[in-house]
Amino acid sequence: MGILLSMSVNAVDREEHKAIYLGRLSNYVAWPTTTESNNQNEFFNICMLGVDTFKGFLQSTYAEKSIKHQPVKIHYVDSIENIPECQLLFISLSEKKIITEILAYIGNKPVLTVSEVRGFAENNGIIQFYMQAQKVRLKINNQAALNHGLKISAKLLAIAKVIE
Amino acid sequence: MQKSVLFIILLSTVTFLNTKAFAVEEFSEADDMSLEDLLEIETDVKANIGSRGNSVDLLKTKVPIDVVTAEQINHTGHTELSKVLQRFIPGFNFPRAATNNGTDHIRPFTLRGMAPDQVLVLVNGKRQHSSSVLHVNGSIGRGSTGVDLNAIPLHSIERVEVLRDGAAAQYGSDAIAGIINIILKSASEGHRLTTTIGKTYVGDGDLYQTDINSGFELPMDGFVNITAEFRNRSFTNRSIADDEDPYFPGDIRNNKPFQVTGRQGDPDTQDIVVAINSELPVSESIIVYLQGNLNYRESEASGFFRRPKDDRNVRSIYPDGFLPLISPEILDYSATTGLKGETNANINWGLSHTVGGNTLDYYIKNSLNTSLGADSPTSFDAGGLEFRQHITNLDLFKTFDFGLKNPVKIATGFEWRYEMFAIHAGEESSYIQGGVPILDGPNAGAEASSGSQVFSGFEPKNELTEDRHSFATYLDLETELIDSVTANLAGRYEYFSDFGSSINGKFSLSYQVIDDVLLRSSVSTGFRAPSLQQSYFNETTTLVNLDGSLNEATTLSIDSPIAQALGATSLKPEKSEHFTAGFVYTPIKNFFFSADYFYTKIKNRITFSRNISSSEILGEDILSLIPSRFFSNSIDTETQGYDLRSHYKFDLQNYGDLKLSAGYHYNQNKVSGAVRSPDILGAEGSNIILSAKDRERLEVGQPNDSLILTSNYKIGDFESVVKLIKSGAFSDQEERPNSQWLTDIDLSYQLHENFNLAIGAHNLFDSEPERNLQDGEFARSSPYGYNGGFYYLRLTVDL
Repeated sequence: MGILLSMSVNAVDREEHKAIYLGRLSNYVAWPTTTESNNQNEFFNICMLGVDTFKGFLQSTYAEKSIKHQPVKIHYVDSIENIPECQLLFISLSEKKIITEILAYIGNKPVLTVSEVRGFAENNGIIQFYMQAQKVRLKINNQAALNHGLKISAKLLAIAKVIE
Repeated sequence: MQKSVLFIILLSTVTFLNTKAFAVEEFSEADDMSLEDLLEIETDVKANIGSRGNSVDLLKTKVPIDVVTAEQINHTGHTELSKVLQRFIPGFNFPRAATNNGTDHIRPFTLRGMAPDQVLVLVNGKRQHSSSVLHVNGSIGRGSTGVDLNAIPLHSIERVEVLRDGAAAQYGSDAIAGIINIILKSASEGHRLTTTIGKTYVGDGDLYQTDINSGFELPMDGFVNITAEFRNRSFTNRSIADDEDPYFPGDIRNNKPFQVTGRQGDPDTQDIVVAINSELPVSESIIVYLQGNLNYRESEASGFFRRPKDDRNVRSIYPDGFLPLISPEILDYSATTGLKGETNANINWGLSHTVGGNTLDYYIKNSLNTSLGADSPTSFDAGGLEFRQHITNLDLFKTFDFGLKNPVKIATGFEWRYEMFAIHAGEESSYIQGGVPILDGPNAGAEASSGSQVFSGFEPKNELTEDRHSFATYLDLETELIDSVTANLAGRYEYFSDFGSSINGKFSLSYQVIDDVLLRSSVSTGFRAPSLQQSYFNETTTLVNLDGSLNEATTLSIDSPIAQALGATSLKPEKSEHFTAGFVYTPIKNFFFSADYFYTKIKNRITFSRNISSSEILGEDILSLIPSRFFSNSIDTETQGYDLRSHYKFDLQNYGDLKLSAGYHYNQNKVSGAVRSPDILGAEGSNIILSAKDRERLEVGQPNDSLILTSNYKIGDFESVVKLIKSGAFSDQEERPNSQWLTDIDLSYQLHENFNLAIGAHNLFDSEPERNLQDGEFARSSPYGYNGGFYYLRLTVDL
């Protein structure tokens, strides 16, 4: 019983876990200084493009939390043209057929692009989620990050599969 | 039964109360976790079976599903999938058949006390072929075929999904007791070598198994994952001494103490098993894939000992009698290649072709053909069996918005299937009547038995090649009708060239009453096509009677003139009706309790008659001297019961992680209504078509309940898995061995980043099933066998 008293519970919902990752990953990425200080109203802006696979959890997770010492604002976007200025763009699986167009639209803006679409990192996306058994794994295209003016810390690169 | 149920409920309640009281803000910890720890968090398990489209959350499914993961498999210490599933799925039965000809080498498994062929097995969602062997002797599953799960290397498996519901309306024939969907690993990196050695406490049953699993990356997140395994297991023997004088009366050698002459236990086997799973994206929207497995097995098990004085012995060859051996070579293979993708109109599609087969070539050793006298060979090629199937699938899936509250998921598809079954004759000496009479003893001069002893070879007259094809189409609709209520409606039409068509439907519903509680229910119809083996298999074999005497019997194909004269008719499909209802209770994120009731009615169930002798058929003499048996759609059965599951996972912080789970299954099988028998069999017909022994096997021959409690504790580099298993009572030859408790333990330690060493034991306390009072042997249908304790050492190396 003594042991049971000190128990705590870990969440393991797959999509929720990925949502948590977004915040954690961002802490290991350095944006160009101008972007970090001048973006919309000092918020850390996360854009969710396409069908919300996080089941609304992005909103609830980051409602009272900060990323890089900034409060977080979540933007749900249904098309490329409506993507606002944001530091992190998560591209839903529903957009997998227009990944190339999305990345072309983003160009080299200092936006951390994240997706779980297959082949995302090889197609110049920056961070790709993939599953290995029940664990979430990361694939990072570091050159793509540099092209966007982003610097990913060695600590994050060390735990990911890195595409040069 | 009641104690087991109460135990699970009590355990669940106590754990829930503790967990609820001390639950903390779920994600506050994630902020403090290192990236490395974050990577190691196991997310929830999802399943692909039961619903078309995306994978589903196990706690939200409309029908009950169990999942066994690779991590769990790795910590069982078992090297065969059937034994692994028996350790995780209450209601999964895998008795260790012995002295049952081909059945010893491809042992059948069952779900919910039903038949081996009433379970559909899929690999990555593709139908796996059945084995060529028809279980015709006195084992559980007599009269059926089944899939050989042990032909798939364990370490190629990412997870196994077990759907506990009838689903023939979605997936086609056989899905009556449930579906087992094996998902192969898809890792594109890493190389892992696993070696296990072990033996029984008695000192036999030596096991040596080693395998390597490797992943390789292909462009655009493609992968090739390959597993190769070698498995060697020596036979075990728990037979007792023969208490009958082995020599003729008056022979002084009878004065020796009684000897153990038989062999009852596991066969001696060597397996080479290979599996591959690969995908290669060839464009942004098309992926080509290849998956498959190959198993080559050499196996050896004995028949019954022929005493020196036995008329079937030739004493100049075996002066002290002989133990004949059946040593088959078995090849099992399956390969699927296909394309899948998504069109511009957002239609997900898949087109694939699967070829699979199983061949079993019988070789008989340490035997003789009595009718060839002293010149008889002692080993024989006794012929073989072959089963092959081809399947082409086209599957389409799209989500439509019809203006309802939520979009509707629609899946449709087509399946074409070809099946072939063949019997190949053995060499002449394996079946011939050589004409040499019994040479000595009291029956000298009488006609001697023909064919190789223990297994008479297939004769040219047994040879056949039979085939059929089938076509199926299905439609599957799913949507959230109103808030928290999700419905699924499915229908499937199937046409078989040998018996015609079958149409089946399924409706399932789930209702999320509150966040914590999900209610679920389904009603459906289903069917099982009679196998080609049931329709056409024919042979002659040697059987043992209750008094230990042996006799010969022949199995008649349905279309044989004798079977027709006995009233046999072409086999029809078994038709089933299903109802399932239950709930899932998830008060917090890492705890659940579920309970599901199920009911299955099977009409026109296929039975395999007992041997009919000519003397039993009044006024007829159509069987000559050899007793014969055949198949018929002669009974209806009802199965009902329930399943309970509970699982909870705790982070004990500095004291490690603890996962506890409990599963319980209860079933009742019974024959409903009268047994239908041909008129020619007279008043005794119903007892011939369904013998007392077969009724016993069907109704109470398998445990009516089972309980599995599992504890998995991990701290630092140490991990322990302890299982406590209770297998319920069952009947065997009119005796009823009591329930048996077993304890398994697996202790592993991460010696180094790349090395993990484990020791463990199955049946740690060496528990044994009760012996039969009649002959003192263990019941051959004992669910967990009768080897007693087994210990092992396992080394895992990440290369």
